[in-house]
Amino acid sequence: MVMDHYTHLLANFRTLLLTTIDPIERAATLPLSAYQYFQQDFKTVEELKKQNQQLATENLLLKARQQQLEKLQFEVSRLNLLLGTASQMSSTDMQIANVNFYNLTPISQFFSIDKGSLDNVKVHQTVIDSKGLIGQVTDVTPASARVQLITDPDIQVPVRIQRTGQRGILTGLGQSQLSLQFIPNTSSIKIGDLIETSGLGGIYPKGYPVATVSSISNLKDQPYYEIMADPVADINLAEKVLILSPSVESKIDVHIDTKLNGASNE
Amino acid sequence: MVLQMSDKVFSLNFSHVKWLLFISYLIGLIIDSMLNFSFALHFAPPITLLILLFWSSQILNQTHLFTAFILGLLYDASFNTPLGAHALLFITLTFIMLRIRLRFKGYPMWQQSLLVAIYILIFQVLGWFIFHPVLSGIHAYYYWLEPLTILIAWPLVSNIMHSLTQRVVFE
Repeated sequence: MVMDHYTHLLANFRTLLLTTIDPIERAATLPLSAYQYFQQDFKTVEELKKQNQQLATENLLLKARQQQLEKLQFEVSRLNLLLGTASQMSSTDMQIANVNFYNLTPISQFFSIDKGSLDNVKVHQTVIDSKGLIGQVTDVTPASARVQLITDPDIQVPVRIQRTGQRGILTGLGQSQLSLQFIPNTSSIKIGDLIETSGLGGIYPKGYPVATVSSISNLKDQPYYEIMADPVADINLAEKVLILSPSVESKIDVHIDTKLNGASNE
Repeated sequence: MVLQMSDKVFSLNFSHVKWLLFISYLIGLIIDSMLNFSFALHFAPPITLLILLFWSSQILNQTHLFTAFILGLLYDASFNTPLGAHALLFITLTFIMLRIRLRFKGYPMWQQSLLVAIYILIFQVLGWFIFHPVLSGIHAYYYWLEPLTILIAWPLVSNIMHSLTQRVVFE
């Protein structure tokens, strides 16, 4: 118990146990799958048409934004070259996964996804939804993986406040609640501030929105604020999630860097 | 050796019911996972543990501690708790049951239910120290009232298992 809690020596044994109980869990989630299947099946044509229209509009808007993003990537690369600094923009590979089931008990908060080691999913990969960070992969079996939510008390995320850049640690409190720690009471923070990943620690890539500040308390004789935050992602509603692979340097940057280095050598 | 009916009643053997034993644990694990993952009933009685307690009180020539350990490990893997935590709790409760199982078998159903409810209360108290569950608002009441659900769950589990055992052994 102690060895499992404080070290990763039993990780393989846990994977073995999880693989053993995988058929049991699949059998246990049959009622949920049947409910979801029938719920999808009984959608009216009108509803589907409406949903289709919404998705088409959203797709158009996203494509327009994508064009702007590509332009910005070039812009950042050029500016970096002018300043002589390394590019900060990086691209990330993603995988889409379906959520099999949620487990949001007072003891642990996680969900299972339908991608596993056969799909190249690895431990410590970051999982997001369309709104923000959800959690990280903690256990992988050949056909499924466990994602521990950021609201789990065992999970800590290095973050920064987007507006000020002030760094802190976000800790799960269970029950869809988060606590932002180590923010000095001399720093500027207000309710509604967006908290994003800082990239420190090397687990979570930086710049992904995580939570918004919901309450701030100034404790007497304490150097830090007591800050509560609400997750921005649909922590217990998402049906599809994205698994991020470790970031790789953007191809655009490498291309321009190589080209200009070659030119300067000439 | 010819087995008499009275022998079977008073000393149920592992070999008589090995398949029923295995299948009952399997179904217990499926029901527990189903209650949690499909129906989000996080404070439902642990059916696997009830089945374990049932077999510990019925099959007297075994200690069931190894079974308790394995089931606990599977529980830990399933519910993402430190490996060995549920195993420890299951072994503790099985050990307590082993101490009184001869007397337990003779108790009427209401008394058995009450005793198992106390066992589950011990399970909850130890679980509270080991897992530090986040209990806020109504969840705290649900957590501590879980032993009361045993008063309904134990007669149900016990009667179903008795009836299945009789069918397997005598038919």
